[in-house]
Amino acid sequence: MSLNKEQKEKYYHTTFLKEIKEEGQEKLLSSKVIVIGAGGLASSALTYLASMGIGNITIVDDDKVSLNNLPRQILYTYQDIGEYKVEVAKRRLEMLNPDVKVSIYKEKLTSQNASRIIKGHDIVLDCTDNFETKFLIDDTCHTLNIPFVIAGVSDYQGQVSTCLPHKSKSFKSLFSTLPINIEQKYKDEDQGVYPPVIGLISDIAISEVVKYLLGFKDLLIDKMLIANLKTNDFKIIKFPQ
Amino acid sequence: MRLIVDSVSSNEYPAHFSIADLLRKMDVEAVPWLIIAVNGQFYKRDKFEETLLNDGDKVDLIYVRGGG
Repeated sequence: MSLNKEQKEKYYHTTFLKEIKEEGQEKLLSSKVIVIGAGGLASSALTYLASMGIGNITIVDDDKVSLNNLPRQILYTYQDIGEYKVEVAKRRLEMLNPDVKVSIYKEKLTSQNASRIIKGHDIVLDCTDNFETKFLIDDTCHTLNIPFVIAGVSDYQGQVSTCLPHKSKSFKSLFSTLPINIEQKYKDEDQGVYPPVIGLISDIAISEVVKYLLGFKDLLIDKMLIANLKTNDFKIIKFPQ
Repeated sequence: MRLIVDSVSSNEYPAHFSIADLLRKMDVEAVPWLIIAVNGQFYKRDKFEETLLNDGDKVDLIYVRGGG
């Protein structure tokens, strides 16, 4: 598929990059990316993925837009309160870029539906808000052999890591004991989030997705980028051997 | 012994001091999603007791985030 005249103009500044060119943009337009979650990280990530012309985007979330989402979930407005996030996101993203086809699942990712939903995509972007689903994505992507980028935020800090199943360490490998059963205990005291850290972390995460699709080698594999916007501390830590 | 913990350097640490000792001293050993990096390398929880820190080690306490 070659870029048409309008696409050549639209994606001019991306295709001007010598590592991407028109061939790279064509690759992005034929790519299939699935984003799990449609909250803060996803709002920002989806906007860029669609703007950049990722041709096929799938979104999975069962939540509706609420008032306290608006300061950090930039895809939604006051008029969207009460609507399903995936429906609003589909409408908005397809308006943002008609080159993009958005598919939606108005359901929570579970062990029963994860394989069926994730299968067939080139890469998964985790934008969920809990460890349980992150570990489910990790397991499912290993089974299906689909790469994934995992992201998380809380208070002023966030992290991003990329996993190529069977070639790199998994997110789960960081933990000797999985922190899912005791997560609820800490949830109430761990809910604050500084909105700019969401934009920062989601931008790094979608950059990983796009670089993977384009065949870039310098990804966050077997390592994790950690950013703290309170202290302006950025670090990359290697996974355990 | 001198350790640099979350970018703060201090000489107050005794010799033969493990990662687990450090976490107990800081009262954070029970936080389930806390992982530790020593000189840029992650250590899993099951290595905390046996891993002794050395003079000058740089220790980062990483609270892995689940929020989205």
